[in-house]
Amino acid sequence: MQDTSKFENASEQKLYGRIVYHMNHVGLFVLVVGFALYLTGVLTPKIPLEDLPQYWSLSLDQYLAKTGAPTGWQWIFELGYGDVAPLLGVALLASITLVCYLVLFFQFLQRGVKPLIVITTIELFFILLSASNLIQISH
Amino acid sequence: MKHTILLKLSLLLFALLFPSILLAGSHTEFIMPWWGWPTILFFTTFFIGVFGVMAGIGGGVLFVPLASSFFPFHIDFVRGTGLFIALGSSLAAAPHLLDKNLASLKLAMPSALVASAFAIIGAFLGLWLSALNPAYIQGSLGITIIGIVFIMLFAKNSENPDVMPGNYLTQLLQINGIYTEETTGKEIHWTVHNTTKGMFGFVIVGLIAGIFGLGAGWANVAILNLVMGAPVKVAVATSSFALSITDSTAAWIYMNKGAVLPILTVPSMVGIMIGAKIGSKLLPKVKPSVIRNMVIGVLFFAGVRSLMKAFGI
Repeated sequence: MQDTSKFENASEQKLYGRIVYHMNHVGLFVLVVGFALYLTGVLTPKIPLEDLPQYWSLSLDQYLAKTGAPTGWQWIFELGYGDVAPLLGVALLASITLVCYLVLFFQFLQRGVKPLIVITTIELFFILLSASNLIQISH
Repeated sequence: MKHTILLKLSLLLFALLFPSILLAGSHTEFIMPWWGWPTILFFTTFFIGVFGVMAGIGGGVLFVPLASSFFPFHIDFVRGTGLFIALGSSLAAAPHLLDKNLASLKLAMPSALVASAFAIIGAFLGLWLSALNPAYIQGSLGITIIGIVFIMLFAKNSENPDVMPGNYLTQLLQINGIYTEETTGKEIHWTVHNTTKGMFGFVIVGLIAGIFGLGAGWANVAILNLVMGAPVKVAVATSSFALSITDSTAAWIYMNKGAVLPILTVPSMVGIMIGAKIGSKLLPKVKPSVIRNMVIGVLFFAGVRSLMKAFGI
């Protein structure tokens, strides 16, 4: 007879699923609303819609040099522009894993599961590092 | 009946739009209003969603070679969008998969940790190579896509692989679980082996995800099932879920570098999500193997086109 006590699913995974479910809906709603404000012209874009075809085939460096589009976290201060507003929804969607891992970290800490605390901490470090825009490369 | 009509309609629309996608690859300049290409992109991603689900292939792997080869958008923006497509699809699927115990958090966490760390390196490497010469990325993408086609054609998943117990890392991280096989109602107890070898595989997965903006679900499943011995259902579900962790690091880097253009990203994400919903409803009405072969054919074609574009052909 197989010892079923060795085969347990992480009790935290249902909680993880619920957070993803709710945050995903909020993120998509914000994304679509931001995009609608952009397309309808309610928020004026930094680059006029009809000029976009001149820019989307440029390389990233050329595009940034010509348009002054925001990099890093500058977009937060430019949310009033139509073409920047949808980035709020994009950032919310990209943040879901970070929030889930923060919750996991405290759950595992409470249960004292050391290997999973270590994994969660390192993963949080990597996500925060990439989100922080602290790593820079020069060409 | 309704599903058959939907399928026929999808095939008809696909047939109508496909020539325009092919023409986009030529050097002919089209006079098109600004909304023309984003609209074609929306319908293309819609079909990627429909056929990707039916073929069991993730959206990102189809999107990046198609959009970078047949659309006028620079490959930097296409890769940024590809990551968000994979992220969005994974986030949409995760709650159900986790709730049903098909996706395993304990299996996903170590594999996604390795992959997400290397996705950071991949993202910087990809952006650096692209800044040197976009043809480097376009060409290596073509080779990678053709390689993926061969893996998809020849790697045969094993439903319930035999697993040798006693792996140290597996025991330390307690990577095991239970799920109910819905077709038989039986509870399946599973664990994995070769965990260290598997982790090396996720190094490649992370690099590819970061460099090319691909979801890399095709590789996740092969590693989880064929190398580590997870049941195929657990491997597929865990792979779908783990992409949301793997891709989040690279997605942040592309966003921070300014490589996320809402005019590409939003229609693509919405298109693929609607398409995937319709695809999952049509799934019982179609032969997945036929659709899979068709999609692999399109993928091969996109890989060759990507390679040709790199050489300026």
